[in-house]
Amino acid sequence: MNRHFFKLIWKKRGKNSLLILEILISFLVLFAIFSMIIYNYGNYFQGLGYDHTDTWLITLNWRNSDADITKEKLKHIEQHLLSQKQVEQISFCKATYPFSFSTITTEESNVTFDYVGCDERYFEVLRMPITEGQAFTLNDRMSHLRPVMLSRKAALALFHGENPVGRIFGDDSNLVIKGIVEKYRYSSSFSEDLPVMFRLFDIRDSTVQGLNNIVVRMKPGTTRAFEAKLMDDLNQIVPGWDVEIQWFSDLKKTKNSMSIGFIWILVIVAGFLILNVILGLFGLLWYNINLRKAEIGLRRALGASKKLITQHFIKETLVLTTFAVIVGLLFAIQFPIMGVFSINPVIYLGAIGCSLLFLYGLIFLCALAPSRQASEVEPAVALYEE
Amino acid sequence: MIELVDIEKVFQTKTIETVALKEIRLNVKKGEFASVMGPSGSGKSTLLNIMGLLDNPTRGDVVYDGTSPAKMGDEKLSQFRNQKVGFIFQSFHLINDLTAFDNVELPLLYRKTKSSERKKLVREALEKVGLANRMDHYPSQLSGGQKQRVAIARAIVGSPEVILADEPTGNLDSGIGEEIMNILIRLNTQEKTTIVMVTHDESLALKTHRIIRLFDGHQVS
Amino acid sequence: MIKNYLITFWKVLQRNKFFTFVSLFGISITLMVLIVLSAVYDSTFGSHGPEKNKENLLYVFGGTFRNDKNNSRMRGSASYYFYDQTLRKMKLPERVSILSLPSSVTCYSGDHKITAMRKYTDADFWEVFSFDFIKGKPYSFQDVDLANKVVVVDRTTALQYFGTTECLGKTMKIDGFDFTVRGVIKETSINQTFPFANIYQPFTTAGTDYLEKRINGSFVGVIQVKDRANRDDVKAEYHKTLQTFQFPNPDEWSNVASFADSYLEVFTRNLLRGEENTHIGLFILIIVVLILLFMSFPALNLVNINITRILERASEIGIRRSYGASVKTLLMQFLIENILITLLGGIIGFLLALIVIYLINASGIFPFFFLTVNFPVIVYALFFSLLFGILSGVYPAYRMARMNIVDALKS
Repeated sequence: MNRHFFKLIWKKRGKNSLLILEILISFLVLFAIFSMIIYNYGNYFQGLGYDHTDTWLITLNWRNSDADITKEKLKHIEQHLLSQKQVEQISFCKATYPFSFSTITTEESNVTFDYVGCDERYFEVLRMPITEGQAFTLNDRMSHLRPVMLSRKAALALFHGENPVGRIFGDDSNLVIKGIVEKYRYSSSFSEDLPVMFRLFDIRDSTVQGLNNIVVRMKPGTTRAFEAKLMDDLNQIVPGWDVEIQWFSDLKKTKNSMSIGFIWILVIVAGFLILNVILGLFGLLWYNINLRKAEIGLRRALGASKKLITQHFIKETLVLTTFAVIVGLLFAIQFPIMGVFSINPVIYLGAIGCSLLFLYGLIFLCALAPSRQASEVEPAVALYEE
Repeated sequence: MIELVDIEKVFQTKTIETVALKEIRLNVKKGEFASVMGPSGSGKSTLLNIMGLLDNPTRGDVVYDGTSPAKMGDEKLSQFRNQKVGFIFQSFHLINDLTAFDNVELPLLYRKTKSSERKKLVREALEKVGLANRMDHYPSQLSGGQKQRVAIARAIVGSPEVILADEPTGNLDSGIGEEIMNILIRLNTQEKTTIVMVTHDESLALKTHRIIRLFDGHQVS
Repeated sequence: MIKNYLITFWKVLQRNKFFTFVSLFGISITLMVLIVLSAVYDSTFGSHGPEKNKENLLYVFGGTFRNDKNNSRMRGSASYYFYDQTLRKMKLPERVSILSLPSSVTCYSGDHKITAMRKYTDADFWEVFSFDFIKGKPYSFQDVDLANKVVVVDRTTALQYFGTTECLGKTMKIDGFDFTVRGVIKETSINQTFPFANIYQPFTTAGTDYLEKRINGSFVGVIQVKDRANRDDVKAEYHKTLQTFQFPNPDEWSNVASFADSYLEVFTRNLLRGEENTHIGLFILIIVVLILLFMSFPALNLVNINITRILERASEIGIRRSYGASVKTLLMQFLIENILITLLGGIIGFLLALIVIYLINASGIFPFFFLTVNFPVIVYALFFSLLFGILSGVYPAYRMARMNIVDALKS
């Protein structure tokens, strides 16, 4: 019986081609949307690995300033900040602070790490618990070895569960692990938990290049008024430098809105596609039913129940959908199989499942009313004609 | 006034060819009331449709007073139909969304008649069939006989030269059917309207001037 | 005749309320999107707000500066010096204004941090554009000459900084200096790029950079012509004046391609990277094609619904044809019926668009951007409804009107 449906629809595939195409494209867009939602929100609920509340970012831009003078100025700024009673702790860092628009990666020992350059107070300021070992310090520099901190994922990637503290790795075998933090998801609330390597940089060091960001933890309740005063203070210490103060809560909103914005755009596109699918579906169904009024009346006269007629038309519609979905699946299934974008295949499978559920559910609902209408055709109508 | 010259009508589907009419030569004179009879499938309705220019013959010509309307373009042909022909169908074919008045008015809307003039003509037509008091009723509010009378009013409102009636009493009981027949006879005798009527009913056919009999698409009398 | 069509149309809609609803739903959403987009277009290119007489304005957005010796080019806004030496030397314009591109400033007020866009202008700016002053007035020529530290702010900034629009004469701290508020204006949306800003200052308060004899800078120019018929003459005069411009450093830049354009021309010239050409034709062509494509999609999907709706009236088609309606007459009837439906959908779509626009404005989802609905948008709405009605109605109407009479009657 079901094969009969497939044959019917295959015969009329020319007429139905527009609708099939639309359903196919809708499926693909839905797949993309669900993939993004599951991926992003899957990450979102994992926890960032740090605490950015009551934390501010000071970005400094010094132009053609002598390196030694810059260092002195930075020390002066550090001193000033630490002397404020609203300031709890500060740390200098490079461009990959939380919610930054920059990403830096590096590869050592065949593992790709997100790269963070910071001083030893970074973990304290951002309240990242050190679950193994301890935070690196300047004293840890010895001979050719450089101290690093790793995220849990990084440690696993290198040593697969063995105790990483104290181990040495790196293409030049010059990196020694001082401690582990659980995770540092810094790009946005939706980014994946990736291997991260923290390298020690301090303004007391030889070069301060790139160390132009300061993460400052404020006492809870510090106001914008204090921010204004701080700006004035800093403008006096380093007139001629560009100084910017931002709250991490604002940075987070901006960075997150990019991911969310993109999803919204896809949703709008999907909405439009689905609207057209619905329109096309109703049109096609209604048209077919109208053409076959005589046939329906006859079937009813011969004993087919209303329920049977309704089911018949719903089945036809679902078969049509399946034609489109099969093609879409051929494409979509490549994603989990090939692990595209190195994303967990389970996410893709979940997205396929959600898309199928949504699409079939929607199309079933749309087919319901016209199919029911078809079943209302009076047997007399068929017999009346001719 | 209507001359059918060597009319042949063949219906073609993808695989089957049906010959509905063959070698029809007819002449309906002005003022004549002719009926067409024959068993089911003999081509009666097809003949009427071709006569009324609703359908084109596969071969042959339909000539109205010397002119071949079938050769006109769609615009002119539609105009011709509007002016010269009035149809009455077995299943009434009234537009259910419109009142009796609006239904009868329809042919006049397709020619350039003023609103006041239209009102007058519609009223007159409905009076001729005795339904002036039901002008604002919808077809759903009328009985079968009343619906057919509205259809007749619609057929005559434009004063056509010919009325073509396809089994006008087919869906009505005999009493009402008689009434309808009388209206048609009155139209023919008083207004001199040419009428061609397809019917199954021998008793009605005998009241007409001439009976054209068809069998298997051929004229047999 | 019309009455007959209207009655039939209304009854047809009622006959299958569910499908009428589905059709109207599809039509109104499609038109809603188009109306919102046309509101964006009108909001950007139309004459309203500070640009009430846009037809009398010509804009100069810098130009392309060339070094003919080593073939290098620089494209973008220019310095104050450049416009001072070109625009201000022209005779035909009614008035000329030189203004900067907006840049971001941060102000602190009490416990608030305000990020605003600040623009430097001359005094002519306030004559060329017609801003709505809620309070006070613009800074004067004297203010500009004396480099007085005065500002004009928009209502939002006034409320953010002072908590009230009653702030004339009060001071606000910008870049470490105190500026006195001379006037408060209604907000301008960021897509009206030339007049837009939150804070306006005399350009003379921006330090002495503007005196420098150089080419590049962050300034643009606006010309107010006496009569819109003169625009071509003014464009030509600008072209001529450019030839007289003395390049301060001919080894660096020796030639320039710069134009006084209508706003649309500025936009397309920059968008489509035309140096000599505005590419306006191309731009309009792209827009038309996109709109048609966008409309065709739902129109195609509606075709089946429309055909079926007419199919259900096959018997009526047969009757009308028997009684003398030509194919053309029936085609017009169905087409008009469809246009009536799309007009209805257009009205609903317009209301929906108003809601969407309200939500966009209220949510502040695009910083400094808001939409206004002016009269031209209604015209666009009407136009799109008609166009959509024709697109989605012509084919079904034609197919159905051409139906064989005998077959129609049999249905």
